[in-house]
Amino acid sequence: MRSYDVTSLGEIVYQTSQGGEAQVAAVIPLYNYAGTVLEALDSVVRQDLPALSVIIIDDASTDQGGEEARSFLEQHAARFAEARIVRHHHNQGLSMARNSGIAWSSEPYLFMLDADNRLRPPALSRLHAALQCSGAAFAYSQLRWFGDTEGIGLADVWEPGRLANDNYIDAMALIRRDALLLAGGYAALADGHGWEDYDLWCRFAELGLEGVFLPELLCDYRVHGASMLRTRTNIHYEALMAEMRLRHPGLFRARAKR
Amino acid sequence: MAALESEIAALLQRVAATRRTEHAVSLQLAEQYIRAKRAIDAAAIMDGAAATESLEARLRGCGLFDPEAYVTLNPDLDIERHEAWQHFRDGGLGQRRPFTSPEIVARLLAEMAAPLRAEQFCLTQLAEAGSAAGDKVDIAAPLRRRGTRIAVFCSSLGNFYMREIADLLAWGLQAEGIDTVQRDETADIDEPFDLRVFVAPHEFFWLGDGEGWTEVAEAAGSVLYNVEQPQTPWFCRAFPLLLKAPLILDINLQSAAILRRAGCEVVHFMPGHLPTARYAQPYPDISGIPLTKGYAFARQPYNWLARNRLDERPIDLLFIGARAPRRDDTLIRLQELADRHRFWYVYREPSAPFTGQSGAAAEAGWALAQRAKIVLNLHRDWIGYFEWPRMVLQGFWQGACVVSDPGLSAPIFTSGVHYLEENLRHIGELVRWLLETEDGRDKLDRTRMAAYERASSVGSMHVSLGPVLEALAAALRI
Repeated sequence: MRSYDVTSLGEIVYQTSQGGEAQVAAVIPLYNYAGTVLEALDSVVRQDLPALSVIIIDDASTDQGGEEARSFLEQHAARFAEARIVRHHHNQGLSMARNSGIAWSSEPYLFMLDADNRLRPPALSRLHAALQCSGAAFAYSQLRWFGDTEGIGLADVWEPGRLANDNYIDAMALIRRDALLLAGGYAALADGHGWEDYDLWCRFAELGLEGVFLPELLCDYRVHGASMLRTRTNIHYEALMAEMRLRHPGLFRARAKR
Repeated sequence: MAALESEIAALLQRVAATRRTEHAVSLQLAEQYIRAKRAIDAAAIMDGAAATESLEARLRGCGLFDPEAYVTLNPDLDIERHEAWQHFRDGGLGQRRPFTSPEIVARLLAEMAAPLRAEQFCLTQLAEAGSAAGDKVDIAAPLRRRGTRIAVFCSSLGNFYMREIADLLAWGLQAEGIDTVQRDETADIDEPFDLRVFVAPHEFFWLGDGEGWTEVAEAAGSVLYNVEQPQTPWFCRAFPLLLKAPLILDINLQSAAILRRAGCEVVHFMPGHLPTARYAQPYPDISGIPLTKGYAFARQPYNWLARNRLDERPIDLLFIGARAPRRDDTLIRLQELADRHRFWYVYREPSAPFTGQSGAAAEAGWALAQRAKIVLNLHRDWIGYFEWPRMVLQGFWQGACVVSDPGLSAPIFTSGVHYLEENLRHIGELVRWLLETEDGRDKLDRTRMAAYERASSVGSMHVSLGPVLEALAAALRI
């Protein structure tokens, strides 16, 4: 994913293995989400998919989130084929935290779960089944918004041409690890204002990789004062769209021609 | 109103007579059917008696305009409440401005409750009689003999529900042996037809080249088919054209009655079941529908009419519709239940029409419903009309059980028998009972079976087209 070794950005601070092979791992980047990370982890524990791993990338949090996550994993160690916490030496941002998750894991399917969000119990089993039967590179579902705003998300079927209109697919998706590697992982955008996931979907589209959408409410997206949707991302909308256009001229040109 | 009630009483007597002879299918029955329908129309015209003179009288007779709503819904106007009526009459109507609200419509319908109930009862009885008479009632004969040529118009840019309605109307007319073609807003405006039916005028005369057809709306031989509910801005958009149209078809019983109060000539027409139509046939292969790509069941051929078993329907609950706050609340409320079942929400922004190009695509609605145990019907507004696309086409015709937000009723179909209603706050409990208990599953199965049987007999296209054909013949002075 990078010319340097991404794993060198951090070190393992907790690891346990129950043996057996999980096909799916939940990758949870964590930066100062002590208030919510246990909810996120609890939703992973409650998955109806029997074999499952989890990897937390503590992006140099300054709160107690890392310790709380460790304590939780110790209590629920039996639930996971493998559980691991990697702590970055320095804060690297969301994109590189996810890339660390990719680098430190070996499961063929990775679910990107932000530490303030939650999964519904059948999420991973249904998304996994969708990838297996479709052969797509990633699977995603409709979202429920909760927190400061309640509602239903904007996700819809995979149509690469639509990406030039807006970012209608959230980061919460089950992604084939080999597709992530083929795309070079998540990019850090110019001013770090978010939308790394949008950029990834655009690169998938350019590579001819496909997504598959399940029209079911399988993931909960928390809307709150600190969430990317509500603050930085929206404020910088025009600049981000311009950057996307610059990064993916082919996709955006196709839109202009229609 | 007294005259209307006595007309309805007389009509009920005739219907009772029709019921007694129901099993003796005969030309006499057909004659009674036609006589009774004429009596309904006569009663309706009397109801709108005040509304035959000036535009002002028609607008007032209709009862939809509300000055408060007009000022609120048109914030760009610098007018006071007492100036609203004059502004609407002299300019706002022509500018297609919104002028009413769900509260006004509700008040109006409450006033009209008794005659509406009577009309619904009569239409149901007449449809049953028409169904019993079967093919012996040939109301299309005069139109065929005259060699009538009809075009059914529908916007190519609108919601796919409208295309389905246009298709069904055209196919229904063709099945009656009438020369019928389909056109859109790009057609040659001078192409000669005896009758032109414009489906969803709120879209047709608004989108793309449709604006260029506005003058045709009031021309002789034009028929406007209203499918929009009166409390919406879209209905208001079409309202000035509806007022000028020589004949209106209306998918809702209630809005048909409201338009009659405005002095319009209106026939209530809910598209009937047409077994040869593709919307009413099994859709064995859904693997090409993008929404199904992540599901193994979509790769298995399935013909629900060949094996009509509840347990073989893999989608437990299906909802297709545009985003609205009360729908959001309900779908979220169902989330815990959705953890244990397969609930599908095909949910889009209201600003993005459900066009055939938009992934979900037209056929997804009925093809998926054939694989659903429950089709959920949630109204956009608190005042809910009988939503034909979701209840009849997606529900009854596809063998699914419709669970609905309580709403206004329609002839032929009965809540509790052909579909189930529950307040949104408690709809999850009803769905849980239907899916997770033996009694509930039995009720679910019986309801969907009863609905299909009803829709394909009394709700057949041949029966539902009867009053339309009669009105079309009258429009041509046959």
